[in-house]
Amino acid sequence: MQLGRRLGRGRESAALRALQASALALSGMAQVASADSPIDRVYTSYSFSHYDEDEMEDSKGLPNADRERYSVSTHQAMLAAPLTDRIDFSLEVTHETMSGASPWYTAPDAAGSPIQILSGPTIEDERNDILLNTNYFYDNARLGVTTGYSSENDYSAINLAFDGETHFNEKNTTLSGGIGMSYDEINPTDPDLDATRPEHEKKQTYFLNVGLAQILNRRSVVQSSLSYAYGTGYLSDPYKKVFRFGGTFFPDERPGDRHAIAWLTRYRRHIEEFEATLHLSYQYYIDTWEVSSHTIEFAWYQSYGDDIQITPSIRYYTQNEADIYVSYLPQLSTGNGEYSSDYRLSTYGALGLGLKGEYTFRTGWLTDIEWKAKLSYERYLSSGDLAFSTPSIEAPGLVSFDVFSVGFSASF
Amino acid sequence: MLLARRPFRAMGSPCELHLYGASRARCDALIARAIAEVTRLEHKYSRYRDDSVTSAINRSAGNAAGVPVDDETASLLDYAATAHATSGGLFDPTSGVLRRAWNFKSGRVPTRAQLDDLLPLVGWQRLAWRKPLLVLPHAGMELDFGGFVKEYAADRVVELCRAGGARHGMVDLGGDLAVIGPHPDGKPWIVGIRDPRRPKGAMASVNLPGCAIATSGDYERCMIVDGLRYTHVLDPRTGWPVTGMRSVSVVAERCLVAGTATTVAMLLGASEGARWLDELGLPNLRMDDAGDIRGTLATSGPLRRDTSLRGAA
Repeated sequence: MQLGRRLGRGRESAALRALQASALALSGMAQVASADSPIDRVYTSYSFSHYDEDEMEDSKGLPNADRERYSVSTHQAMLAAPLTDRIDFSLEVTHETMSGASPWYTAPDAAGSPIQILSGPTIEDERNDILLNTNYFYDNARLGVTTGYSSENDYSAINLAFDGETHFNEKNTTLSGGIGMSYDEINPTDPDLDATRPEHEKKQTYFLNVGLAQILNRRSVVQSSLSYAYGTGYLSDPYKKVFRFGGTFFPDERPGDRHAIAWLTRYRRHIEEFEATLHLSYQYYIDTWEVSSHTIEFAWYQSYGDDIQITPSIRYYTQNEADIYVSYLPQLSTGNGEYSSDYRLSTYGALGLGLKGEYTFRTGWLTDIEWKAKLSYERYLSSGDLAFSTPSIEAPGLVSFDVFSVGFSASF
Repeated sequence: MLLARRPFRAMGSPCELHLYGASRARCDALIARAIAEVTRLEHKYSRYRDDSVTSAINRSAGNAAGVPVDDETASLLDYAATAHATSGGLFDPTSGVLRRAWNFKSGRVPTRAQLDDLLPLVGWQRLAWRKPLLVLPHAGMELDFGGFVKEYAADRVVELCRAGGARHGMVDLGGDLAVIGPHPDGKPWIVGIRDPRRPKGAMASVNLPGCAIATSGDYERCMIVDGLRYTHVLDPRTGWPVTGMRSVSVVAERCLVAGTATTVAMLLGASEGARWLDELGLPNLRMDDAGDIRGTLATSGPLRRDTSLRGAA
């Protein structure tokens, strides 16, 4: 590429452009036509990220309460390697430490507007997670198995998933699909402190997805996938409460099952003039709790030569509240039924602004190693005002946060 | 990091792959894949194999229904169509049929009548190509991928090696060279350009940082009859071998494009060819019939080493 620019700039004739374009089309075609194969190199990476929620605004909480919210530090390491020319595998381990306070319940202030009561800065937990994936490659298809185990102080989850893809239409079309399940156990801390807090609960989630990717031309690909998830068991939050006007609490109680469908469409286009790739995506989500949401994301992968890539991105999210969402229950409520004051089930909108930088360099003293250094930052804002449809009452617990992450990877 | 060098024979030429890799095994695996790819293309487009795509196409000549071709062949035909159009009809994969009159081992020059019989079968404009159908309407017409499949194969080897993780290396398919990446220390590959009259000697050397170079010469397949040299590069308009250029080398990002440029420059002759290459803006080196070396890669002297591309551009 660089040579072409050096040689051709300003002098490149129409004839050369035509020949180069035609030769390039040939190469794109050949790449698509090459058989599926496992990764060729050993790939290893480490990243650290820090997620930090903004302090709660004064008007959203109790006058004298602590405003500090949640933060999470995550260390993640990954190793992927070919095993044979038909099989590859990857292993990923994650260690997270969480601390801070989380939303507990919402109650009306003197004027009747809901305020968020936090749990107090009591949470100190850590999560360890391991994920193992292996793929088998046929001449024209891939089959993969992923299994994982995740454990926290009060939570453990084990999951298993199968996925695969196959190509047809001269490999311009890829059909993919997956099926999986997760089996979770919840053992809330301090069940004695709260009579309504369960001692031991379980839930299962099953999911299914099918997708189709179509190469439109040498520069653009469109992909669309439909996912279905079914959750059953204890889907409530054992630490959250619902407040009844006058001063009684009920446990957070949600339906015992949930069916959800998400439809995601992605479009990717390489823009040669700018050495950039545009990513656009849209997702529509709907579930049987009557939550529905739209997500639109735009990202611009800008390359500067072979070694630097800067990616600004913007994401907009809007959702309509679940039928079980309440700020608090009226005084005359019996409290029977299913309710939650979890702000994540309210009507709200969110904006995510991201900036990611990646620097690639190579060293060759021992072996030929390709290194990547990555740095990223995301600012996330959520509020009722950002929602497409205005909420009757904005959830006071809506959160804004920053995520900062730094990582390295090496492939050799 | 070690350098593996593997000479092999393919497409009727001596070939060699130079590849740097972390281990012998990794180099060997990639080399095996690269050779398999070249062999695949050789078989697929060989004129000598009954089961090749080329043979299937040529058997269909005269059949107005045409023959459907696969995607890769279609892209090669698209490329040929582009090259034919941009070269004013000089790049022409149908001109292979002229070999029926020109047998370079015979030492005999065909008669005008012999060539006139064949010329109606020559001409890309006479065939119909609309993906995926190719129609050679006249019985006896032939298509020959030989003029560009070797260059395409060199590009494929580069792509395949890069996809396989190779960063440093070079492939040489019978004088058509394509670079996977410079030496690990960043130094460019230095390649010699064969002297058309001293095939074992070099008339120049060129630094090749990360691109391809193709050479076309009158020495490759030729015969000398009554002191006149007749080369295998035949003009599709006259059926006659080209004159005026002994050798043309062109540097381009892709070997396929470089190869096309050399062929067309040979066909255009010394001054027209020079103008065309200049118009393309591709670095080149030419030796004309008088033995003078010219081109953006040449310097004032008849032979000077380390003619740098950077200087040329």
